Parts: sequence; structure tokens; C-alpha cells
Amino acid sequence: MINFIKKIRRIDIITFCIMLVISAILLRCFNLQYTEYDRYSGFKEQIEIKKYPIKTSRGSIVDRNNNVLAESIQKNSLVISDTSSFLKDSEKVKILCAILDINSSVLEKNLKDRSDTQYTKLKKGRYLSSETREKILELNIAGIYFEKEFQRYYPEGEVTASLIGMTKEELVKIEKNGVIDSKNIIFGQMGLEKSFNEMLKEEDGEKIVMIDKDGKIVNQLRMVTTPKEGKKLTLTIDKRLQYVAYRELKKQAIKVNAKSGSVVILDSTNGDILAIANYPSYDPNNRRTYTAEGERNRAIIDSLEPASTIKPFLLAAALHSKKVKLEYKYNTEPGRRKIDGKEYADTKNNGILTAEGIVVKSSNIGSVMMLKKFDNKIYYDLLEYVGIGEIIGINFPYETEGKLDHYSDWRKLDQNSHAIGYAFKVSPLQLAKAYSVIANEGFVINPRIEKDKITYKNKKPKYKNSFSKVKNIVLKKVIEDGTGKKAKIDGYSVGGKTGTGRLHIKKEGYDSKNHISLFAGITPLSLPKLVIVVVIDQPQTKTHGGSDIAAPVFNKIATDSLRILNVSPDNISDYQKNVLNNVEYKNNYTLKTLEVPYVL
Amino acid sequence: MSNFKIYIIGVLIFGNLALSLGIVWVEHLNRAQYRKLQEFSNQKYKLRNDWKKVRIEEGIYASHTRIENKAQNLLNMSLPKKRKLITLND
Repeated sequence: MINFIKKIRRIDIITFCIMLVISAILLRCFNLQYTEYDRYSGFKEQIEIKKYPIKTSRGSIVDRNNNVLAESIQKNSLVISDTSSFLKDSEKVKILCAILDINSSVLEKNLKDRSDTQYTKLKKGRYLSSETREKILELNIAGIYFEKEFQRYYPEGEVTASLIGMTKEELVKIEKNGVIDSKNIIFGQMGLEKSFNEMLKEEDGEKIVMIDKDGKIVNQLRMVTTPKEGKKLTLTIDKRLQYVAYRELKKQAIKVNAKSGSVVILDSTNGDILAIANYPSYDPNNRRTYTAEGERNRAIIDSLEPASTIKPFLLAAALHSKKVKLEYKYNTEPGRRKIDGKEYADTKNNGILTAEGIVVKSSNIGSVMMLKKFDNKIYYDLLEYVGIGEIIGINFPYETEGKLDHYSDWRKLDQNSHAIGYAFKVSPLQLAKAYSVIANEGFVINPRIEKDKITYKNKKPKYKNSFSKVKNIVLKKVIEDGTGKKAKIDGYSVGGKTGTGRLHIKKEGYDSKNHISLFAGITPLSLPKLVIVVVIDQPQTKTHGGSDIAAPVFNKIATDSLRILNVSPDNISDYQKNVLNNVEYKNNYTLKTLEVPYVL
Repeated sequence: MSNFKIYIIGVLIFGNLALSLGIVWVEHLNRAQYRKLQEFSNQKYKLRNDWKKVRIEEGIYASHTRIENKAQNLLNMSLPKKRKLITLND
């Protein structure tokens, strides 16, 4: 024995070990292949290789201060994938119906009719919270699963509805490699959701994965399509100003029983659109409140005749022609006069007015007389320069370009109409842009809605002297002594112009009963920051002038906006100076600790 | 057969075995890690969704409409009259 052991070489031991290991492996292979075949082939069946969707969300829309205006939230939607197994346990179905607030007998009846379908979604089973999902999962009902879906929320509701718009879900058939597949696609139906759809839209991905018996993904085999999340859209809108504009517009529109109205707030320093409010509106979170009227963004897509709000531009053109000076006098007596065969009237007999007085008192007769003093081309060029008749291009669906005929096509009556703001059309946004040119004394800054977009600004201003005179002398006087007294703001200098247009009905002509009240203003005049345009359509009150209907709205919106934006007052009135000198105030407060007492 | 050749064969056989076991082990590790990755990415997705929800909630709770209604109805607050407002220059 000892001899035998002695004879064993090291190589024999190694060979033996290797043979042992190989035998063990072969034994295990045999074991797996034959003895435990059934068990392991069962495991194989439980592992599934299939395409798995990767859902992503649509991009959010935020205001200039990063406040959410539209956002998509992931929710769970109940899908019945096996109707017959689902209906087996009627007790559990009843509990499920109670959770979802559905009539169980109606559901059972409906499902029995379509027992062979493998994909049924319930209306009340969509967009469920994770708590409700957990409750349903606890029931352990067969034949159901949850699908990820995104629900779009608009926290500002009706305040931003006509601007942001809404999304729509549609079943679209897609052909891929010769196979037609249907897919639910979300796209912008209106407003900025529509115009920025390419930027906001998401692209769901797809991967091929290995799923175990618990439904968990074990391994990713291949990425078929990489998902792309929608990009964030940052607007120039200020949520606070948007609210103020909408609140005041709605309040006034209801008060005067107006058909509709719009407000545009523009930052004249950089062309940022701070607010665009429209009335009527709807709540995009509740589609039942939707109306076609509420959807309409009148400030951008509707055009109207600007009426007297155009007179400052007429005066600027007149001053530029050097044929008119501010102090030149015009006899507008007796306040009603026939010119070129048509009668023009002022609200009252203003007597003899200066060129400046024509704008301050808003004299139609004076305006017609003024345009006759200089070439139409100069007036037309100026209107074109400030952007009238030209699309702004803020990327909003169906944005209007307004209407401005070439001066060579103006007949005599057209010429007179152009002088008083008729025969051509502008949108409230275009009017705001035009007033921002006055505010910037000739610089044209194109309005923008997208914060990161570089906007156009011309390097050399045109009509500088004319616009400067109009802004600093004439528009200021309109507020102090003229038709815009109700637009006056305590502490701030304001320049602006009222307008009252007659409603033009196709084929019927101008309606003498229905009017459009307008006000366009700039504040503060010393260092212009805000340009605000207010339009109230068809107020049903005795007084329908821009001075009574639109100017007070401007006043309220501008007061709040200047406070919100922290713009320093540039015009402390005598009253306020008296208050500051008052003993009572002096004793109780120092200038440093005294704060503007503002409460909501 | 020389000893050297036998050693080489032995090493190759062991290497083969070790490699096979290694592949199985790495595959197992890969699956385990992928499962973890899935868990983390689900968690990330959930947190992001929660963050979005919180932002929307913030937007709703801090909306001017709501605050104004609460201030007016619950606290009887109102906008001060113009004559009560004092505006100061810096």
C-alpha cells in the first residue's frame, strides 16, 4: 500500500482532481437537464422578453420668475387587460367600483358585451392618484394593470387660458417597418401649447427587456428608441401682472356688461410681454368650461380700428414733416363740420385748438385738417415704422398682421379716415408695440414672449424729436388736462391717449350704438417702463368712451404693476408731500422705517 | 507528453472552468445591478414627479386669486383707498 502511494506521481493527483471536477460538472448538467428539467423549464416560461415603453412628460411652461404655468404630472390609469378574469370575482369588482365611484352593475353589463377585448380603459379609472392605485392593488383583482399617463395642469386657470392654450390627446396610427400601430399622442391644441408644440412635445422611448415572474425588469437587452423629454418653455410673462391685468379687465367687463376685452402690458425697455389678458376666458383644467369665445386671444389675433389712440402718431408725423408745429392753431368750430362731403364731429365744440390741443382734446375735425397740411407718405411711413400692418412674429397661432393700405391707394375719404384712426386695423399688441416706440423716442423694439429669444432693436432711432415732443408734452397733457384724466396715477407720471371706436359690421357699415373703448398709456414718463393697452369691446353703458371705460382699468393695472415691479415713483404729488410733512406722521415714523401700507 | 504540456492543459481547463463560472457570476451581478438601477431610476422619477406636484401645489396655494379671496372673505381685508396710500421716493 505504502509502495502504491509512493508510486503515485503528482501529475496523477492533478489528473484525478480534474476528472473529479469534470465529473461533478457533468453530473450537475445531467441533473439540470433531466432530473430537474420540469422545474427549470417552468422558470424559463416565467421569464419574458418583450418591448417595454418608456414614457416621458411634455415640457413645462413657466413665467419669467420660474413660476409654473403648465406642467404634466404622472398619474396611473387603470387598464382591464383580461375582462373574463376581471369579472370572475364580482365582490372585488363591486369594491373597485365603489372606489372609482362607478355603478358596478352598469360596468359589469358593459364589459360582458365585450369580454374578448384585451384593453379597456375606464373614464373614471384614468389619472388616479398613487393612493387610489395602492387601494386597488390591495384588492388583488385579476386581469387589471396600471398604465402611466400624464395629466396636464394649469395652476393659473382662466387667468392665462387664452395665452397658454390647452393640449389634446388623439389616437394616431403610426406605420413602422410595415406594421401599423396606434398610439395616443398629446399635442398643443391652441395657444402657446400649439405654437411651441415642437419644443414642448415629448417622445416616448422603447426598450427590449427581460421580465421575471413578478413583472420586474431583470435585464435590458436593447434600447429600441431613446426617450426625449419635452423642453421647458420660459415666457416673458409675469404671473403677478397677468393676474392683475385679468382681474381688473374682468371686473370692468362685468361692470359695464361688455362683450369682450383685452389688456396688453409691455416692458418698453426690452420688449418683454409681461401680460396678455383676455375676457371672456375659461378654465383649462375643467374642459366643461371651454368656449370658443373664451379660447380667443383677442390681443393677438383680433384686429380693430385704433380710433383716437392713433392721433399721437399723426401729430408725430406732422411734426416730422416740419409743416406743423405744436403751437399752430386750427379752428374746429362749431364741433361738427363737413369735409370732402362727409361730416366729422367732435364730442363738443372745442373752438380754436393748437396742434397739441387736437390730440389732448381728441378732435376729429382738427386731425383731418392736420393731415391735409402734409404729405400722406410721411404719415404712412411713420405708421409702417412703428409696426402697423406688419406681423410681430411672437410665434402665436393665427397672429394677425392688421391692415394698412399703401398711401397711394388712399382716396380723399380714406385719407381723412386714416387721420382719425379708421380704415386701417391693428391688434392690441401691435398698438402696444407702436406706443413703446413713442416711449423709447424712436427706437423700435420687437415684443417677445419667449424669454431667451433675442429681440430686434434698431440701432438708430427715427423720428426722435417728434416722438420726444409727443411723449413728454402731448401725452402727458392728455392725462393732466385732456381726455385721460382717469388714468392718472398718484406718484407716477403718465402719458397716454384714449380712443372710442365705432364697431364696424361687415356689409352694414359702422354701428352707431356699439363702440370699442380703448386706452394706450406709458408710465412712468421720466424713464418709461410699462406700456399698457386696454380694449373693452361693446360696453353696454350710457358713456362708452375710452376715458370712462378703459382709462380707469389702465389706472388700476398700472398702479398695481408699478408697485409689484418696484418702480420708483417719479411724480410725488402735492397731496403726498403734505402728508409727509404732517406732524402726526413725522412723529410716528421716520422715512427709513415707513413702509407703503399695502394690504390686499 | 511532457510535463509542461500537461501543466498547460491543466491551466487551460481550470481557466475554462473559472471563465464559465465568472460569466455566470458577472451575468448575475449585472442583473442584480440592473434591478437596483431600475429601482433608483423609478425612485428618481417618483421624486421628480413629486417635485412637480409640489410646484403645482405651490402655484395653486400661492395664486393671487386664492390669496385675494381668502384675504377678503376670511380676514375682511381690502385694498386701501387711494387717499390712504402714501408713496415714498427713495
